[in-house]
Amino acid sequence: MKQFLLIYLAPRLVQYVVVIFIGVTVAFFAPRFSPVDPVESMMAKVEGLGMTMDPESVARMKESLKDLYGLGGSLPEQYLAFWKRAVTLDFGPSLTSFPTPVSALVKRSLPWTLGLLATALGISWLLGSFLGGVAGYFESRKWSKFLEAGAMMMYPIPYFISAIAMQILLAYVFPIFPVGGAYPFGTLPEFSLGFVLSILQHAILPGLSLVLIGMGWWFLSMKAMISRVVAEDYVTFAQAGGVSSRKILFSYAMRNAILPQVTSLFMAIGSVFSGAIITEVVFNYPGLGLLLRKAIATGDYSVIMGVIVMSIVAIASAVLILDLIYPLIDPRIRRK
Amino acid sequence: MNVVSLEGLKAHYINELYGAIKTTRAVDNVSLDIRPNEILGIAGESGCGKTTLLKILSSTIKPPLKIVQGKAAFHFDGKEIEFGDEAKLDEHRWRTIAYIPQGSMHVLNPVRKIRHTFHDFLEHHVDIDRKELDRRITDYLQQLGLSAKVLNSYPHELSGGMKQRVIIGLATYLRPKLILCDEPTTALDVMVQRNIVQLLRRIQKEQGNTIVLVSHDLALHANITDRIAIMYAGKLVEIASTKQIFDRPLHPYTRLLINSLPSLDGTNELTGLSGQPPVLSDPPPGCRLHPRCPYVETRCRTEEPPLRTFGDRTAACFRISDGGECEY
Ligand SMILES: Nc1ncnc2c1ncn2[C@@H]1O[C@H](COP(=O)(O)OP(=O)(O)O)[C@@H](O)[C@H]1O
Ligand SMILES: [Mg+2]
Repeated sequence: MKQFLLIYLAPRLVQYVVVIFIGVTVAFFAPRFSPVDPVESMMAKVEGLGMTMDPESVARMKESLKDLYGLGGSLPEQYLAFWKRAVTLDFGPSLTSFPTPVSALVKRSLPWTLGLLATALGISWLLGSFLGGVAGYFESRKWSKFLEAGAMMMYPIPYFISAIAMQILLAYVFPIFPVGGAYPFGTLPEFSLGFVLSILQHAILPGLSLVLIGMGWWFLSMKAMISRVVAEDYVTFAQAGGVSSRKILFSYAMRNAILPQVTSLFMAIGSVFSGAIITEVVFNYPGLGLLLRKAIATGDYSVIMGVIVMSIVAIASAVLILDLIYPLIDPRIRRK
Repeated sequence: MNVVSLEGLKAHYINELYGAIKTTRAVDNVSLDIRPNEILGIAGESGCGKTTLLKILSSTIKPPLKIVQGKAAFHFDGKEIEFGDEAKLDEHRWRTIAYIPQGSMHVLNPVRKIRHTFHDFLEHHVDIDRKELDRRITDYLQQLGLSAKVLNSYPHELSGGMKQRVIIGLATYLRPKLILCDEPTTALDVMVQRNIVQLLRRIQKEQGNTIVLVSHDLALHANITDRIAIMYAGKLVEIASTKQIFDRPLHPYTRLLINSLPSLDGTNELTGLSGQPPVLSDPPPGCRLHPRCPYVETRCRTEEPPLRTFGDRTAACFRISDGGECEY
């Protein structure tokens, strides 16, 4: 066990730290090499409003903006300050929703994104992998070909088109679901059955759009994987041995084909934390994706930085957790 | 009564590639009887259809492989079972027919403990509780030279030789009538190869099974088989007892194969085979060996030599006299 910790765990923890270090460093330098100066563009906006200011207050305002953006001082000082912000998750106040801190905005959006995206991801992964596995194993059956044709037809449609089409169909033409939002406009979040039900009602349409598109992908990749596994010697051997087909399907074919699916699932979990921008914009869903899009549109530099750093940490953490649980599902890893 | 009889069997891989259909004639017009309690060797270079023949015998045919012609049947307990009669065959899978596929490395499910693999294969056949079954499996594996620990291992924790023993254990636990063995020693090192061969022979002596043993390694055949069928490019070209094959090969291909064996005294100059066996999607006309045969004559290039019987052996070559003498 001790050896396992040392040989298996230690390198992965080091890798985790290094990935976050590089990610945060890139997030720090990239905007500093870009020609857009957030202070200047903010000043331009202010001047665009028709305000005239004397040079002295312009200079003062620039100074305080620089402080807010973490652009004051020399580069090394800024870099250290950036790390301090990243570690304490304090990215200062948002500029468009001044003086609400970025962390409060993120805290407000994150549960919506997680609730919608993680649930949709889980459902589409389970359904897609299961159906893909069964359809791949019974490849020559009619229903298998029918399912594949369905997935192939869904798959190339750009997501925003299918999302908007579903919205038009199920919210405007047949107003079964609300057009957008996470809960009725004008109500305040509270913990009651009625409110929870209305949250669900609002989540079904965007959730369905995500599940359908995600399922097509998981279905096709699982099916491709199964066709490869079915040709493996151990499947032929089990068939020659008269092992029951249910057991071959689940314990031999699916059990082996699911391994790469689990890897892809964790990659997808990591990216949940930057939100599904298209979904949230189309359905006006108040998650991280919508927050990020608004921040990009209004040049809310602090919010952008906050979301970027958070998704770097989230993706690195998802990979770390995958590495930790992988030995449980693939015994071959345990020994190495 | 023969355990298996094959008559004019043809099995082809039919692949569709970019709209064009490619047919690989991996088993082409094969007739063969397998006798009770014998160890029958099937020899020949790589790619001549040996594995395909075993897939047919073990009824694990799946697309693109297809039987296109011929008759084939098993004879178990006085009853005839035609190939393809899945319902009847299912009763005999593993109880009567066991198959050890090529390449011991990938034959065991990598994410399943040996114990569970044994349960999967045996659960329809034994009616005792798991504890007792485990005890018996452990006993049996110990007879095969494996420790009790093996049962709780995953395949990757075992060496190649141990894996092959586990597979042999799985295949012989129910004392099947017919064991089909594909290259059981390839990819193992020499010492282990010898142990595996001895193990197979011991089991066969004890249980009296019929074994079909496929190998490209003639030395292995010399060691263990009673009879050998030589296969070339999808066809059987010679069938005779092991002694006859090595003492007096009739077919030029058999002779070439034996000549390419390194001899113990190191005097042979490897006058064996040159060139490659033909591609089976486009085999040469006439005798399939003719482009490589040093004894080729005109009609070999256009006419296909039939399999002829000479006393208790058969061979397919024009240059053997009716009396069974080589005329080359
Ligand atoms: N799945 C397949 N599809 C098409 N051709 C195949 C397939 N498997 C084997 N073959 C071809 O069938 C021929 C016989 O192969 P095989 O039975 O494996 O020979 P051997 O066991 O004697 O080496 C070879 O030419 C091989 O390329
Ligand atoms: Mg082979």
